Amino acid sequence: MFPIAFLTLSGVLEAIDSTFEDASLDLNASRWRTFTRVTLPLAAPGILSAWLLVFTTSLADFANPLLLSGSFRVLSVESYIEVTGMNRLGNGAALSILLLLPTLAAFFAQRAWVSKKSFVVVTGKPSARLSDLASKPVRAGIVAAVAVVSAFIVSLYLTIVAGCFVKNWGIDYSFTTSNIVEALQRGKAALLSTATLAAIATPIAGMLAMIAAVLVVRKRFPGKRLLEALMMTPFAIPGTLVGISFILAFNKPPLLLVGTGAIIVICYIIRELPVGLEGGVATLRQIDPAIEEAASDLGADQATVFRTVILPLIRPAFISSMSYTFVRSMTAVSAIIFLISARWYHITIQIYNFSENIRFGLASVLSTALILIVLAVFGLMRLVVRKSGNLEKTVGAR
Amino acid sequence: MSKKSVPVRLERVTKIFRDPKTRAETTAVSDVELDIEPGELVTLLGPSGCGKTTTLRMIGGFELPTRGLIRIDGEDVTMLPPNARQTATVFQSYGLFPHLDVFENVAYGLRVRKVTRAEIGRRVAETLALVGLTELARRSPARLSGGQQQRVALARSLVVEPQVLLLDEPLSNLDALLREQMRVEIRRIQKALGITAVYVTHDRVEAMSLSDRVVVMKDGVIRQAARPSVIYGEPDSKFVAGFVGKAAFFPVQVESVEADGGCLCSLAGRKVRAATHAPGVAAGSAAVIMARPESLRLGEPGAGACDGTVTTNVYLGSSVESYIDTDYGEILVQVDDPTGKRVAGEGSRVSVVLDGTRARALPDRDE
Repeated sequence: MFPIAFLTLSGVLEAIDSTFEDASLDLNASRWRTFTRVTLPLAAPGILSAWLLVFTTSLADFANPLLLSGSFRVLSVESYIEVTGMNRLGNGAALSILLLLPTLAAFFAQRAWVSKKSFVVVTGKPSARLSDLASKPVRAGIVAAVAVVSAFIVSLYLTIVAGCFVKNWGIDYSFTTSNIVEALQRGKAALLSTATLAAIATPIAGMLAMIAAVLVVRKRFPGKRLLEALMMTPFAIPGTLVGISFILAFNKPPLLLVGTGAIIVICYIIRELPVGLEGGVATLRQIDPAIEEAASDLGADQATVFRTVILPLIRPAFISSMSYTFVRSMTAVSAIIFLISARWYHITIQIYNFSENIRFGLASVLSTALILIVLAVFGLMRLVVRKSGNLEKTVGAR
Repeated sequence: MSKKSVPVRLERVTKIFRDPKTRAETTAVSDVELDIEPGELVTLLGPSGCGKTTTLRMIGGFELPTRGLIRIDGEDVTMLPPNARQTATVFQSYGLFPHLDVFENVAYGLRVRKVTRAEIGRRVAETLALVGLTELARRSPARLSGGQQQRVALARSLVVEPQVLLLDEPLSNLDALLREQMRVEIRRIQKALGITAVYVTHDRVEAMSLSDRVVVMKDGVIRQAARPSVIYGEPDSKFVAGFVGKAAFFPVQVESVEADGGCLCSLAGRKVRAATHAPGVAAGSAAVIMARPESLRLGEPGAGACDGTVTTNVYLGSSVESYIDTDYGEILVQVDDPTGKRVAGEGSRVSVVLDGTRARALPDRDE
């Protein structure tokens, strides 16, 4: 959950003009007082937002409790067991609804609260300079604490990689490379089908999200708010609920899709649209409307304005959101677990199976493979996006 | 690059905004009638919210009028979108394309019009030379100074040879010195090209210094439209008088209005003859006599229109602004070329001497 909280909070803190803190220090407030009376209140919406996001994500989390919680019963896992283990679809659905209520409430509370209480940039030229808010000893303490946590997280990942070369982590620590061979042999099909379906879903989701973003930001039409809400909702719904609802929905002709690859692709798209939409909307909002007006003023029709002005400016965001879509699709668990079939298997489920069968070596190999793919995709994305430079979306006066 | 200059006509143009949530209606522009001559630079001047920008945007096609007609060169363009009109706008925030360099920014309009490569090269080079940006042709807009960005925006609009050039407070984001320089530049280029232009600003000095005519607006309505010298010397209302310059107002009773335009008034028992009067001033009505600070003099107590005490003297180099506290409120008297003269010091009793030949009677209405 760290990344979610970190990204939200760092975004908020970056946007706070450091002049506020400078002003407070200038008026002789202590650093502590500045932090508690100026920085914290201004960051409050962001902190709350991060908290709610972590809360909802934890509530809906499936993969972790599935493997780790043992006898501690969690709603998401229970609903999975009801559907797949006990074949009690109704019970599973009901449990998922129970899960849905708090997550939905928290999700909408976050959106309503944060959007109303955003008072971060009020006037003139924002300047985010780094200011010295913590004295040296305090800073040393904070850095030490963060270092410990980071080390812990890194060691978790190192353990996974280490597990590839060991017969069976926790049971037999003798060195071997046979796990790698066996895992790649047995997991090849799953890896391929996962990557294929993710690769199909990604551009579709990306395009749909971009078109929707342009409509949401620049056009007025009846039902716009409804469209936006509908597109964003899958983000709030726990994955298990999405999976179960897909089974229920696509179980009968003419929409008999259960067991096909199509249902998985559709699931990916629906779940990832919100991410692309948010990113697209945020980027488009940064573009000074005068830029599009100028293009139109100089004779360009709507399509030309989109092609020559908007598209180049949203390209970086477009590429990032597609990378996230691909990665999130490949690492999906909670919805996918209901939709897999013999023909279309998913790598994460394969990893889970290996773990359940106490073959941690095999699980480690596939996990490492997944990590490498994710890193490669992100690395590629950074390279491509960096080429277009740190494009200011607006040049000139604001 | 000379083309025929065209007239612009606004007939009863009105714009009413409707808030989609509250359904409240706001009239931003009301029944605006304006005839702009070919090659004329007209400035829409007024306080925030007076409708000047909305009017400009309607000429450009970014807003559609609720009622009324807009004609460019006689043709009805009222409902045409911006890309179908022969107007070009210089936006307040410039709206430069961040992903294109200076050359491509300026060339954009030509590319849209499918002009040949050779022709584009020639015209862009010519226009960049006109605004003095030739060496920066390949720079990215983000790496230009504010003044340079402004000139790119101007070049981009000029290169397509529009019939009408629209400028929406183009200088408001520049520092004072740059603003002065660019003011002169814009006027020079506009005159050289003979292009009809509409300029929007809230800065009266800008308006007065670059326009052929100034159109003062308030609350969506045109209050007065005239040459700068006329707007300054013969305003028709207290609002216009106060907006285009500093003014002192003396409440008077009008005794008679004369054939040559003069106006005999009585100011606290004294007779004063104002050289001109505004429409709406008639015998027996309450009026004010307006006098500009540079037309007032300081004299011995009792010698002028009213007595007062000097509160502050502000030394400006070429003149001194003397603030006099009188029964009519604080009056500003400008003393020119103060070097060597003895200016009445702060705290001294003086009188404000009114020169009727440079005074004007206005209706005593505050709106």
